[in-house]
Amino acid sequence: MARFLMPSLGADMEAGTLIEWMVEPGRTVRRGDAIAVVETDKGAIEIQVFEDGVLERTLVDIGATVPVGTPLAEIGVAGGAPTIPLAARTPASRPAESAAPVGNGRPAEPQRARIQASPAARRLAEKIGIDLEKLSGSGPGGAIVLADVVDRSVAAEAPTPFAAPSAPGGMREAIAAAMSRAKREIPHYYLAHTIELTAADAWLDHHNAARDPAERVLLGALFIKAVALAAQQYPEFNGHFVDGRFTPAPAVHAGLAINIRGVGLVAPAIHDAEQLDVDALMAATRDLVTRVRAGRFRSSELADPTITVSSLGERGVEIVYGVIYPPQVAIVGFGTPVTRAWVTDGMVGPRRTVSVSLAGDHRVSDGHRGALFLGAIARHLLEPERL
Amino acid sequence: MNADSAKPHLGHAHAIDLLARMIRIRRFEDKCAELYTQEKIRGFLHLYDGEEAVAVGVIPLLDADDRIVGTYREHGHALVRGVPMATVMAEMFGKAEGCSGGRGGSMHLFSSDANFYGGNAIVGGGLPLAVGLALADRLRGEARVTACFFGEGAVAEGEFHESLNLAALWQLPVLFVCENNRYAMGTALERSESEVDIHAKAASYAIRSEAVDGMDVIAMEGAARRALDFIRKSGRPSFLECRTYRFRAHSMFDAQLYRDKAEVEAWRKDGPIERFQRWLEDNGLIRNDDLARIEGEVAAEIAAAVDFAEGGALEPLANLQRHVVSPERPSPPSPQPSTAQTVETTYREAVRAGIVEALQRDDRVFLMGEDVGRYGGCYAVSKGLLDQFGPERIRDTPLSESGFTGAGIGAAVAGMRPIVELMTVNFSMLALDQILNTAATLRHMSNGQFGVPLVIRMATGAGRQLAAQHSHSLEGWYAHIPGIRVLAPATLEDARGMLWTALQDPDPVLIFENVMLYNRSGTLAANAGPVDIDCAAVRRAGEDISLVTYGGSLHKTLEAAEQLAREGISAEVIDLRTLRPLDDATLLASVARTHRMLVIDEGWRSGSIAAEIGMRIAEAGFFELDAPLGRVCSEEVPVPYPRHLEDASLPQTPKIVAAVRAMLGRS
Repeated sequence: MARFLMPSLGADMEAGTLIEWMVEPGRTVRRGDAIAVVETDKGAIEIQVFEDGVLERTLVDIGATVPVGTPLAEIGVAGGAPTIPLAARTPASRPAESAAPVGNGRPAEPQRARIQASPAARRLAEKIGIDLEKLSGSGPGGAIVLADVVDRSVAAEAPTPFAAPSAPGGMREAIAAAMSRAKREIPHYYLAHTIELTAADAWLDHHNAARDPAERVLLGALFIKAVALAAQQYPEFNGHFVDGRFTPAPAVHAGLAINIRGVGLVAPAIHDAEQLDVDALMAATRDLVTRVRAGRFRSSELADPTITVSSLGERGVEIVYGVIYPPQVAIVGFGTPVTRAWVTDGMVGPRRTVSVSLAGDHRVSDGHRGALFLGAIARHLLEPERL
Repeated sequence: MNADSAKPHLGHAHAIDLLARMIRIRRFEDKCAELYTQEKIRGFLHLYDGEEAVAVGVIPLLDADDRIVGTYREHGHALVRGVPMATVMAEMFGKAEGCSGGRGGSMHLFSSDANFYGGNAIVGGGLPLAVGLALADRLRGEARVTACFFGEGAVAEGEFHESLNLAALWQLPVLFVCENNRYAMGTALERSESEVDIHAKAASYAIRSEAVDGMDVIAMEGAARRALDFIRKSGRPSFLECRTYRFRAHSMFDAQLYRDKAEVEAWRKDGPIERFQRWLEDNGLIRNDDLARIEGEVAAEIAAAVDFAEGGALEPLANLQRHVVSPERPSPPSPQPSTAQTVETTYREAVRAGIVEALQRDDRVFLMGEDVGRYGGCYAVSKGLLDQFGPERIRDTPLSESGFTGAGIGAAVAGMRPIVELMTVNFSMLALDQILNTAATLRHMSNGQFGVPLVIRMATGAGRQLAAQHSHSLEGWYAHIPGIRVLAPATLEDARGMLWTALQDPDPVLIFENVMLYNRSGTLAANAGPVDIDCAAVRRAGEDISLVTYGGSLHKTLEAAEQLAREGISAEVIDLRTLRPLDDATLLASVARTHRMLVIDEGWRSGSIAAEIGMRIAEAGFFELDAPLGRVCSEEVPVPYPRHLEDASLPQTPKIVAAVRAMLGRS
């Protein structure tokens, strides 16, 4: 018997709301199957099971918001112990006579203290979908007051309607929480470099020449691949910093910063980006963007990027200075490519270039290694045929 | 029978009229008793059986524009006065067609058409009202008489003595009619009075006084005629002690343990109707068919009255609040553009200027209170006014708070615009009966027939080391009472401008002047005039917290806000100005901006106006709150004399600052 738990999909996720069972009790499930949908501050997320077995019974009702780690269902694992309902287990060994004597008060059940929050804070939190349990209060006696909620939600009002099932304010709140934590905890350093794109553009023109528009590879895919390869070479930029310790990741799950209009950013991962060729990367990117904008992405995609790539595309500004998404330790930002005067072999001529920046976590790396890392990215982009 | 007094007037028609009036009352009361047992009439029902000769002897002698003040045993008086029996019965049925719209019931019959001022059920409470009605007539030089009926039980009340003294002192045209039926409820006169000769008590106030056999309608009529002649000729009061007897119980639920049945029977046999009827028969003044005709007519009238009452409508619930205050009030004065010209003045002078303006603009206005005249006012507010306006309009009173406050109420009901000054709020407790039971109640109880456009000013608050009987802040108590408006001017503008607006209000307005403000000086626009008495004012705008206060605490609160501003806390200060009705909208709007509220109230904490405000915010503004509501009130002690203890007992600036810091988590 295994228990299927409310997963933690991010460092800042403390609870989730079960909104759908995708599998009925009695059905066989396989590791990796998405079996339930959980509403989080970042949207509705399909969550996966990590056991093979049978979904014996569900333990949490649709609509319930439960903390991370709460058992959601029991999975009968093949060859495992016979299923015993949870409720029947505890008192089994005790004879009835040994029950508490008459007149003796029942031992007080441990009760969670009601969150001390002002009515105004509660109202705003509910309106914009912030879980008060995630906040620490700055009011008298540590009570959560309006300012605490406002601080967590940069914009209290949803700017534009958003079709995805998540509360837009919740998204904003989640970004606010993660970014506040990043700026509070991570000693960022910043480096930038300018890369000439002549080779990359030429390679893309050639590569795309015979393809339908839907299959064409865009510059962004090259960027991701270049970062993924560089990250493999410089592992101190790829991994997670948890509990005071950095653990480099064996694979590069490149978090792709995707803007949801009027709401904010999410950065779900393209798994094993260093393994994918540019066509596969491009397809993965298209798929991810489509699903993100529809409000659905997989739990694993959100939970485990090892490095984030932010690419402004054609309609941004020249340089982006990113904020690291904890517990990651680096974010690489690509500005909007521009054509500028460029000196090649002693001659000035117009060249398309892109500014690439690195925000690195100084607890894990330093500027010297960062410069090498950026240099590696540049080299990869100058040799696109090797990507 | 006292034939002497009767002779000149007692023709057949007049005799039959007296008999018929008494029988009409008797049969009406019989019917009421019956209807009470059938639960058609509820509440207290006090019947007049046995005492009919008093009302019938006196009231027909009054002119149409004379006034009558009755007690809770007033059915007979209303009937004799000409209040239609049908509307009296409908009133007892609680029907909208009743003479008080069904709101008063048996004890509270009113009729403006008949100049019938109740129906007053606080024993003794009607006497000051009668004094005030007569005072108004006296001030206007009108030749009306006010007849005030009351039982001998009232003689034990202070208001009896205060009123007799005032009527005699001010030479008012009041006919006091004491219906001495020997029992105050169940307490025999000998058990409650050391001197049972009541008319002698009146004589001790230098009032023309006469005792009369109240069971003899002819004697009653004669005595009343003499008394009224005296009043009309002299303009001074007169007193009748009418010795009578009540045949029925005090009210319906009374086992009459206090008297023998034999005693009642003996009086019944010699009752006013029985005696008069025998006398008429003996003297050949009644014909064979007279009695049957009277009984027939009375029975028909009663049957019609019951039908009318039965067929009456219950007032819709939607009208419950109607006439608590006048449905119509003059619109608030439009704010005058203040000229650049200003004057240096004090709060005291501003109050005085308001009084002067009122006296000059409206000759119905007069100021009345303890030491307002020759002394110049306890706090020197009215200094110099006696010389300017004379003793009629700057009227010194005896130390009779209930008496002269009630007199103010009566004068206001009769169309004057009195300003009653009570020396301090502690003394006002002595007038609370008049303020609560009469002034605040009359309009609703009379179904809007009588309003009380009275202004009562008084000093309130501590800070002058006047100890525990001159220092309290009880305005919050008054704000509890529906039917009155409660003001607390804290600024020079309000001290100057609230009075005139209050005098235009059709209902009682109480103005509380904090003693610490009188010496406060400042600049006032030279053309400062009337201000509204409806709205709270934001005296200082702020964002972090709303500080709500009024009166003497305003300036401490503004000082606190100034200190807090230096600490980076932006406090909004709201001056309530009007404690009743509260300006909820301004309070809610403020808390919606600041999300925190602290109320600063010099009243004691328990049951304070601060508590009321807090509850209103909790009810209507709960989700705006970002911190628990807070209060800085006076400590729950009688205000002590020594400076350090007095200071410690009151809201002070450091306490306000500390409370704000705590609410913002910055303590």
